[in-house]
Amino acid sequence: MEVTELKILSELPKEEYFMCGHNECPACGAALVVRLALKVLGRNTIVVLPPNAILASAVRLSSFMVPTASAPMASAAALASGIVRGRRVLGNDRATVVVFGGDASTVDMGFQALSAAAARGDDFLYICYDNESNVNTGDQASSTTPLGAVTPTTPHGKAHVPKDMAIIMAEHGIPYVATASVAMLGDYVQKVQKAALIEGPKYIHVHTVCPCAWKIPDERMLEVGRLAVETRAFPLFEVLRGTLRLTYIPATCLPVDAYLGAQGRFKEISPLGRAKFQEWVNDKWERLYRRHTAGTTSGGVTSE
Amino acid sequence: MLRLLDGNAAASYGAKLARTQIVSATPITPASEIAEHLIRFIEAGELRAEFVVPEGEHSTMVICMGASMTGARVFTATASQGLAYMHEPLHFAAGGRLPIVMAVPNRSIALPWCNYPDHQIVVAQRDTGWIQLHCENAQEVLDTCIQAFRIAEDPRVLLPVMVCFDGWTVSLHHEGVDIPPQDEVDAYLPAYTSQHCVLDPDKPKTVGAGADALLYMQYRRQMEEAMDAARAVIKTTDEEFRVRFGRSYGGMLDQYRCEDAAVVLVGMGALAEAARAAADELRLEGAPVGVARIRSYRPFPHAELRALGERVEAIAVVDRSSSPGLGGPLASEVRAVLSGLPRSPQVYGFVAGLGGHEISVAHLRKALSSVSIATGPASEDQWLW
Repeated sequence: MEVTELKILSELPKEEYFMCGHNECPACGAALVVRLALKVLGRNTIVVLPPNAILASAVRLSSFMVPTASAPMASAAALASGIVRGRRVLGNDRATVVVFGGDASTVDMGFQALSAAAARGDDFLYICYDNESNVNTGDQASSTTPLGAVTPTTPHGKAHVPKDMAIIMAEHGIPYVATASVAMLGDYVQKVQKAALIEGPKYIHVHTVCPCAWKIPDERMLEVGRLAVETRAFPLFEVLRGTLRLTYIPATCLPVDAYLGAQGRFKEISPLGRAKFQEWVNDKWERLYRRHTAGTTSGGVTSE
Repeated sequence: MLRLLDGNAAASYGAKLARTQIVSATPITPASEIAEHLIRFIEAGELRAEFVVPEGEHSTMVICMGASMTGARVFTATASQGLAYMHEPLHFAAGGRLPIVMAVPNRSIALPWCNYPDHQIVVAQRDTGWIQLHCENAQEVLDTCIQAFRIAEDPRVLLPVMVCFDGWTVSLHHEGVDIPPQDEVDAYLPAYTSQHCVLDPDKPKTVGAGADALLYMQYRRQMEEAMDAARAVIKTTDEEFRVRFGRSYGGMLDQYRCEDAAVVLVGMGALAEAARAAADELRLEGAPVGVARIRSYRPFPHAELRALGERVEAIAVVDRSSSPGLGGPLASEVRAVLSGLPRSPQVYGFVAGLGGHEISVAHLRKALSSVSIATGPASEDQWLW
């Protein structure tokens, strides 16, 4: 079930809609998430940005070649709704309205507005680049900060497991939800392509490595992202019209130690904490795998 | 066409006649019926618009912003807690120069919980960059909703407008309201064509970019200039409304028997009617009193109040809100604009009608009489109840 990454990536259009000159860090996963999504979505796209590093860097300048609108932190999805409905009432052609929100403006402050926009059925794509903390303000914890991670606001390590946002969004009954990883770009690009063709609310939750917050060297950004997937700490799946399918099943299951040990933010984690982390990973994978196989046997697993 | 309407229905008729294209509103007492009326108009095919169902007022305003950024004409309504919850995106909408119109039936703010009218929370939105027009009856609400779109969309202004009226007293009080013909309204209010802010993939723009200090100062200065331009626009809009429809509301400051008055009562909203009755009674007794109703709270009627201040001896300002630690906010603003005049009148502040507490003709007579015979300067605002 290996994703044919290079083949897909090489087929991406040469056009760039998120240009160089942005102020992201050299190994910023978020910049890659935005750039590749816009290559897939093309020029007929309107971007909505809650406050985040990409927006904060744009003083007098913009790296976007498509229209962008900034939203309050708490309601990026509401802005997307307004744009979609306004264009529809004016009889404008369909454009893809895409939100790029970090985890803090998606799973925390923006959650209410996103949940409501999903429940309203408006036609937009929400891409959450989850770097598992408020990196723009100094790496403070968010609801997706993992168990045991040390941040300025969890100095003894996060005490609770992260919010499972993709599953929560899938439970809204929206047509398409997926997880993706910045380290598995072929899989990510395919999911964006799939989402773009579906009408209604779509949600993609992208595990997005932040070398600064996660305390890893820049050159290990993709490697650490890959370790999250291979250890099943971040499983890749999609939920298409209610049917869940794992889109990547690691051939051998690495222990989470391989992932945790690569990052400075887990250096305080105790052996007990590691065991709890592994238990959380196992439980989550088991639940997903059960749904995956149930979907397979009922014949519900299909691509578009 | 004369119909028996309450203030909420009047607001929805105003929005309908203005051919609003997007409506979004979260239910809140006493504003909920405004959206319900508009949904009925949409369902009946009388209004070509979409209603977007929000989950809260923060999102409501942001939905309105998104729709306005596409060039649609947008209307919403809220009150009280909802207006407070909306505070952050109110700044966004004004800073984004989005000409959204919002009906606001005034209601007090918790705690303690109280459903009834005062100006506490609407006055607290004064610094958001929204134009605030305060109406005193249902007819003025309908007419002002139409005027509000013309003011908001004027290229010299491009600011959102709140059409405020007292909850219950106006919002749920039925009175005979003339509904102007659609073709006349169309002639008065042309279709909206956004030139400054449209999200269009064919013409990519950044809406809401970051600013450095200089750029930020320039943008804020432009908002101040737009507010200043709005003063003239509000007056001409009201005057042209009179020419076409035979009704007008005094532009910025609605003055009654002020020409030869020595004492004038200044206030906002529905209390003006009782104030005029109090003035009439006192006139019969020989006291030269008048009433000046602030119709435009933002922009504030500087020039009109100064002209008034130059010829009267005393002003009684009745606030339906209080700024704990200061007194009545309206009184303090009236004092501020009158300071520096060669001959400033004494300004006496009264706080009254909080949480819907009654403001009777007798209360307002008391206010006007106490300043008529005043001998010393005003110390602190008095509570009138």
